[in-house]
Amino acid sequence: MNLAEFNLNVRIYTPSNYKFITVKGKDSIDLLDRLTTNDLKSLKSMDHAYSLLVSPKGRMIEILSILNLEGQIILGCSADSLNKVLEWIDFYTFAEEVEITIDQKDYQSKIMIMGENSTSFINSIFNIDMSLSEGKSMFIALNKQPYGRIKLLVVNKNYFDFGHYEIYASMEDVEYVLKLFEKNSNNFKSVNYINDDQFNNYRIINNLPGYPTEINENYNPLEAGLKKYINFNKGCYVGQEVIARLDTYSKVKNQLVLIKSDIAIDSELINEDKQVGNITSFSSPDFYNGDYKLAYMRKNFIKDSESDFNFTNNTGNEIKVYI
Amino acid sequence: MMNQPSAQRDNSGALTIKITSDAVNHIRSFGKIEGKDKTNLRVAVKGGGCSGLTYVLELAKNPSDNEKVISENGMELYVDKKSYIFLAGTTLEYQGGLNGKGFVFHNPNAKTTCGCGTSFSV
Repeated sequence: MNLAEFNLNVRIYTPSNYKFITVKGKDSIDLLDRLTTNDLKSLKSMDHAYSLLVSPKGRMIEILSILNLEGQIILGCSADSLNKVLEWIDFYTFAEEVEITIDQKDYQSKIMIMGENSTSFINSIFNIDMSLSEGKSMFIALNKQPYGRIKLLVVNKNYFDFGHYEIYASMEDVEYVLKLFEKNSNNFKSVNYINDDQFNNYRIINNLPGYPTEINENYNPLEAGLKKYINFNKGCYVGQEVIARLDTYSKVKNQLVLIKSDIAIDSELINEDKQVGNITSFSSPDFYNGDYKLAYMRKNFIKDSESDFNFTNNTGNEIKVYI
Repeated sequence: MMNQPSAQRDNSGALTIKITSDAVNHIRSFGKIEGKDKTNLRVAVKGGGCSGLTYVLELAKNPSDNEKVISENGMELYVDKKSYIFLAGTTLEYQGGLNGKGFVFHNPNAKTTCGCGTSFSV
């Protein structure tokens, strides 16, 4: 499989399992900065960043999508982690002036537009020059017939390094935009609308962790390949000491990798009677026969491999590890 | 391992917050530096710090609404209710001298503290 070629296509996905939280109040940024790994105090208005909630032991609770809109912070997380995220923030909120709501109407759903050609796709649909740099957002006004104007929030999120935009809007406006896409994307070749399973395959093949399969309290962000969402200069946050120590002294035990195996294998990866890893996500059978998986593998097994390698599992099956 | 406080511990089992007379004297002297002759102390906890919860000390004249007031060694301590849950039983002392750490919390609720001792987890 040619991954670069695979990632050229535009893929459009509306997650069925995603929630937005609105945080208002003068202490919002300060509180979130103290609770998460990235430097949010530098987040300007209309800027976006990913930041991780981690436990005091440095284990992952969830990755938050954080957008600083004028006067409010929009947090995004999996619907499955919503209660945990809310409880986590509530536990650590004391005298701060912070108001959290989950029932706002403006941003209830999102459309993800992924792929190398996502920018030109958006430009062609909205007839604008979308020159948003990474982590920036903008509003687009549309004439929605016969209802009048609607306002969409477009964010360059770049969780997928090769191009990734998201549109935040109300449920009904998201439906309207999807119809608009379908109506106007005929001139644009290779546009795929994907469902939850297909999105799962997509992130697996791109070695991206998801909640709760890879992002959970069994692993830390360094193991999950999420180091770029940690700021090592920002000062204290929950879990900072452990994460800094793991990084400074190279104590990270596992590494999230893409693996390939032609036949079904157990989730425990064993080599010469030693467990060398755990499979955490399986691609669906209709996607390259389900050959691709994500696994946390022991760093001392991978060693300092700079290129892909094969090893034989305890069942005699050959497994390819992509580095 | 946390040091034992130099002040006598209250073994009565009462859940309160204690402050040693030495700590009170230092707070008074800090108050004078800031031009506040008669000052009291707000003791609180906030989210953050390596271990999750960070101690907060602040000079204060009066309590805010919903703050618990504890009188100890001639000083009033103001504690909000949520912070009190994490601070009940704590003794605040002052460790001076060249090797001293300044204000030190001896908090029986703290399971772990971070390396610098300013944050804790429960």
